Amino acid sequence: MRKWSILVLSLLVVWGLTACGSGSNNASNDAAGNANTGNQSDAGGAGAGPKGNITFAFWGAQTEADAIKQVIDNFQSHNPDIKVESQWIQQDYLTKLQTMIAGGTTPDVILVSGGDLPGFASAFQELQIDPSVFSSQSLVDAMSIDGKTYAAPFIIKPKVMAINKDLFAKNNIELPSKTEPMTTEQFDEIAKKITSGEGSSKIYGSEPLWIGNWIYAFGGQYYSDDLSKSTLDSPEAIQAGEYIVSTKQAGTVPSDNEKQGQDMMNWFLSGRIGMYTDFGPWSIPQMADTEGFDWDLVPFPGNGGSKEVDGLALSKDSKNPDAAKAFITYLTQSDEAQKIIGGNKSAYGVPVLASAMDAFEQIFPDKNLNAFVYAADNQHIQEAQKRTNEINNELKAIDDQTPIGIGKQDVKVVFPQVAEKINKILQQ
Amino acid sequence: MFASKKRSTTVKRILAYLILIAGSVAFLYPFIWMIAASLRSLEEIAKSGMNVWPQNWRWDNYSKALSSFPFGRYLVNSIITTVLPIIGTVFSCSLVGYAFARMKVKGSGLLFVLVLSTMLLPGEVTMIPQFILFKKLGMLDSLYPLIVPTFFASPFYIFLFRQFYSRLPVGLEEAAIIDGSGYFKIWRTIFLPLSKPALMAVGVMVFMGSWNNFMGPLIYVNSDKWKTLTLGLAGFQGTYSTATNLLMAAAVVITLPCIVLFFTAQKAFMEGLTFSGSKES
Repeated sequence: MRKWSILVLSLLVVWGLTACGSGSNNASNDAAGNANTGNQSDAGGAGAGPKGNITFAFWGAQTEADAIKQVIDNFQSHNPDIKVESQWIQQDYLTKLQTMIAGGTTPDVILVSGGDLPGFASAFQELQIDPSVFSSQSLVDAMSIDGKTYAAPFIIKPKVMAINKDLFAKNNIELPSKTEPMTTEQFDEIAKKITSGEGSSKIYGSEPLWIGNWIYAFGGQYYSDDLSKSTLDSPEAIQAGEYIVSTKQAGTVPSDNEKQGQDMMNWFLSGRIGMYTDFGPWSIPQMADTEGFDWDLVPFPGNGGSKEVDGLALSKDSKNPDAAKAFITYLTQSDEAQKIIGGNKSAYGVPVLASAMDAFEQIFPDKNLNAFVYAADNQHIQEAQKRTNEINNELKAIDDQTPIGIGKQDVKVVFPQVAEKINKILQQ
Repeated sequence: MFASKKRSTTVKRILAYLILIAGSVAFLYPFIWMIAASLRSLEEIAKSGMNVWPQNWRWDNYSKALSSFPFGRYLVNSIITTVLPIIGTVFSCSLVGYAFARMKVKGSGLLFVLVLSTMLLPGEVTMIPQFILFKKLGMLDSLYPLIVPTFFASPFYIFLFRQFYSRLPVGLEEAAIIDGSGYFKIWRTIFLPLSKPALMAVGVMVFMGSWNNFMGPLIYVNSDKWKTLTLGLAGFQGTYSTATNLLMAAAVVITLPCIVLFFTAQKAFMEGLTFSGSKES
């Protein structure tokens, strides 16, 4: 009996190890195949385009990954000589990317957001990109550091405001314009009108406002245009901070206790919030199933919010840069690819080509998705610095020390202090 | 006198049960909530709050969740990267633990301290060097990095086995030595069969660790064909939004083996609590 079980165990071990082994065999075959194709293209030169294998790393939920895989399939059908190996990284994207870069296995093509770009740019090749191809010049700016472009714009994720039309009707409030942002004063007035009730059935004007969106609504920004200096001490930034504090005091947003551990999007879904201001494209599919009330999308008040631009970067160590470049060009500049990505039901984001915008707006034709297109054009780009971690540590003071978060100190006092500390980091 | 004593034990019993029921409700509630959420629409999850009875039973969440990623393939990979590490860990750690407990040689104490001290290194520190190591071995994008290390023992389990073996009576192996058995034979024929409780305990711990391992597959595996169920679960969570109902449906299915294991291994665990090495006690 014992001998029998030992035999089964050892068989299991051997089977398991051989099963896992085929991966590395494939890998070495692939590597060999790669080298061969490399030789062929060197020697022959008969084939017109680039050939060989490239790897492509990207993040996203299942639905987003499905959209990207569809584009990859399309690219391969046009370029049968190039094989794209997709590396879909479900979570902790940056950790995995850092490990791969440190381990010398950087993928050839990497999806990167404008906010993370400065931290990773040293691992990327500089790209020559014509900004006029894209719907807005700012898209290439979002992918550039000190005038050098390190990634090609691929998708835009701006913020708009979702409104509960039923709550507007109930309070006899005129529906806001679909094309023009309301002013911050108008927003405040509407929020106060919508707020009603008490306790667990209280309805709020909006979710707790996020300084990262509202600083722009008041005409401020985090840094000077050349990113050399923090502008958190500007009157506009301070005004934005003070406004957020005032909404908490007026009770038009859920209090700190109420919002604890809760997803405010769920509150909007359950009809307890009139205006949801932090609404990104990723929230659209969630809303699509809502039957409880009528809703729509309008531009962010005061043209606030900022747009995240995600781009495709080319690794410095890429063994097959020509194929990688062809892939990047297809994904970012071909009408077909942008329509697939932009028109995906998961609302992956706003396309970067003007010609593909229709595909995006058609995902939900009865909702005003044009608000996203408007924002993609007009919103401020994400402001990115290289020393994100240190700067974020200083920015925590906003939440810790002022009533925007849990603190008691005056916004007027704290913001300039934070700006000074960030400036010290930037000067180092 | 007798009656009042009986009554007081009944009261005590009822009290004990009440406390136990309250405790188990506290632990069970999140689990029941998970099952309830797996049968709801997103909107209903948002509205329902503490309530655990779904209004519209959405059984199709399960088919949607399990068909949105290659469940079968991920399951096979999860099983491989769980079963082999259990075998590897139990084999290597009991062997090393036995050596530390029973082979008294010069410097073994120091060696043991060295082994234990490696536990002080956090995983984040060793992640990149380990990644480079497996790259040099040509084992990236395969299941090897998740399996091979377990065949080379890990300090915590070595410690566990060492403590277990140290408590077994000396008489056990003396008889075997007189019979002419070597160390390996003593380990295999006497110590291993006696250490069933420790083997079960370590086996279950390795099972939980491997079945739920997320960072390992995330770092080492790139292609779909080697991904595990934990990565499949992560796919329901976007950067900003989560398909909570589908996530919960998949989570229920993936948690099932853990629950089954708990109920089947429970008895062995109980035995493990009262184990003894010699026949007399």
